[in-house]
Amino acid sequence: MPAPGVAALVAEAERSLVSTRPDFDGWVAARGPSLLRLAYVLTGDARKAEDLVEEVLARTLARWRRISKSPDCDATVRRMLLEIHASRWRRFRRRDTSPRTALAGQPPELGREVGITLRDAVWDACAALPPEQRTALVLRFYEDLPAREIANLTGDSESSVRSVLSGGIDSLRTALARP
Amino acid sequence: MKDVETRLRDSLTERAEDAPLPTALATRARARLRRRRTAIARLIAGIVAAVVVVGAVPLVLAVLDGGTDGGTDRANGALRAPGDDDGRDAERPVPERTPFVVPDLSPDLSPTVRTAREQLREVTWLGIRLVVPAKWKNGATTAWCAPTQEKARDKDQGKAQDRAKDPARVAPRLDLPDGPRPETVCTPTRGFGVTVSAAVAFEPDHASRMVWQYDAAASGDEPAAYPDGAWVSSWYDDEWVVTVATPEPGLTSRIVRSVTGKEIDVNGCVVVYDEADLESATGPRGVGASLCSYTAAGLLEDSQRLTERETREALAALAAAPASDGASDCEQEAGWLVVLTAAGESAHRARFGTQGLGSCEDSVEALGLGVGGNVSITSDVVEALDLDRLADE
Repeated sequence: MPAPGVAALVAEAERSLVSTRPDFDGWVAARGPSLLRLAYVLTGDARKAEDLVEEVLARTLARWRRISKSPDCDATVRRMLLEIHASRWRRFRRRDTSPRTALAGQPPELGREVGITLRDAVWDACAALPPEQRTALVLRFYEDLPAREIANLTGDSESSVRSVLSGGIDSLRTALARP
Repeated sequence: MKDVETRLRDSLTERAEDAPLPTALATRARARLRRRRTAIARLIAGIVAAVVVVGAVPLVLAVLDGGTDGGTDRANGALRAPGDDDGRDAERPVPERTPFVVPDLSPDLSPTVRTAREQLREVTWLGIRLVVPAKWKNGATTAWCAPTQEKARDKDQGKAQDRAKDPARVAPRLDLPDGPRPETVCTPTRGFGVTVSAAVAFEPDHASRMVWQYDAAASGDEPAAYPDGAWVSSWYDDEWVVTVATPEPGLTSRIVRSVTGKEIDVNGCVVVYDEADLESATGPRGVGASLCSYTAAGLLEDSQRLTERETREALAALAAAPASDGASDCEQEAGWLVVLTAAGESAHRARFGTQGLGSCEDSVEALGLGVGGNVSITSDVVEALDLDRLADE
């Protein structure tokens, strides 16, 4: 039996690739909710989370043919989400007066009444952190990423990430200790 | 006692469940991409249109931008290979101005364990947004004891009468300001549900979003304001109060946490912009105007408070700009939106956007007291409204 030609092997490989490549809508239906959750804990705001995910998906759609072939499509898109989020708050930070800065200056609402859980206080305190600290904390404690991977994602050095994480935890501890 | 790290991990995991519902994500992504490509096509075709006059009182200027990554996506759009999903069949979702029902969650294959949610209904009301259980019907919470039309037809009058005595047997309601208000006096005054009301004369007893339990006897209210033991919480800002009362603290907390409204930043800009703002804004306090830049989704990206001199110059530049004829569909385009809001005798607002690529690029809409019609974007207007800043994005 003659060996199949190279062209046939390539064609077969392409057919296989195409058949295993997820379609965009199916992929979004499966992965969209987790992207929204990540965006929500990063931004702390439902509309900002929706805007962030919509932006990421629009960019993903523009490159879907290539992204869907990547061995870890999910990781690629999540990285894009983090990059866009980081670029937004960095751009924001450059300006003198941003709403985020203003909001960050407000004390978190600490629960003194029945029914307000300590987790609410932690969430509020986290929301009041500067965006770089919040992002690092979310990646560390929600995504469970080590400092080295966070550094890869954010483009900072590992020592810088560790410093930001440490500062974020200290800020949270201070906020939660307020009467 | 748990350490901060553990509490943070728990809090993030729990709050992630409050993320927005994944409604039509793929469609919205397609629509965003399509809007960008439409803008590119218009640029190539050299189409430049004017801005449509929107309102009567405000001064409005609109110019749109392609979004935060226009260059990247433009390149991708231009070089897109055959077979890519081009999104041309997608249409921009029509903004909801009335409550609507969204389906349950899309399938989620992520490794994260997700708790089951009941069907939820997302409600928007003049910039306020919240999520309530889908089974909650619209109606006045103050008329929970009143028989509905269905109950009135109920042959079993005894059951209907029993329901009228026990708020726990009546489905919670969503009470919006424009809803019907039967002249019924119930005890307690309100049943379970959500009430959206104007903040006029509202004096909060608790911090916004604080959850507390109503004790009818201890409150001294006569009649009781809520069902005894109800878990109550209010979200409020300067304009609106959203009060939630349910039998479960978790449900009350979840609903009140879902409420988002018009937050105002230190420069007088609404953090989340809504077209309805065009009809209601009165401008910031003080003499300086606010200059607010928004993304296509209406999220505040940048804000600044102009000095009195800068405000005068901005208004003078708008007034001096030559008239521009024509109309465009800028309103339908995605992109930057910049709102200039000034108070006092010159109280008017200006909205303009600069797409850099879009059809609104070369004109600006100017409406207001003493200023009206479409005007061109002159170099003075660009300088006065800091348009170059957006071009650098």
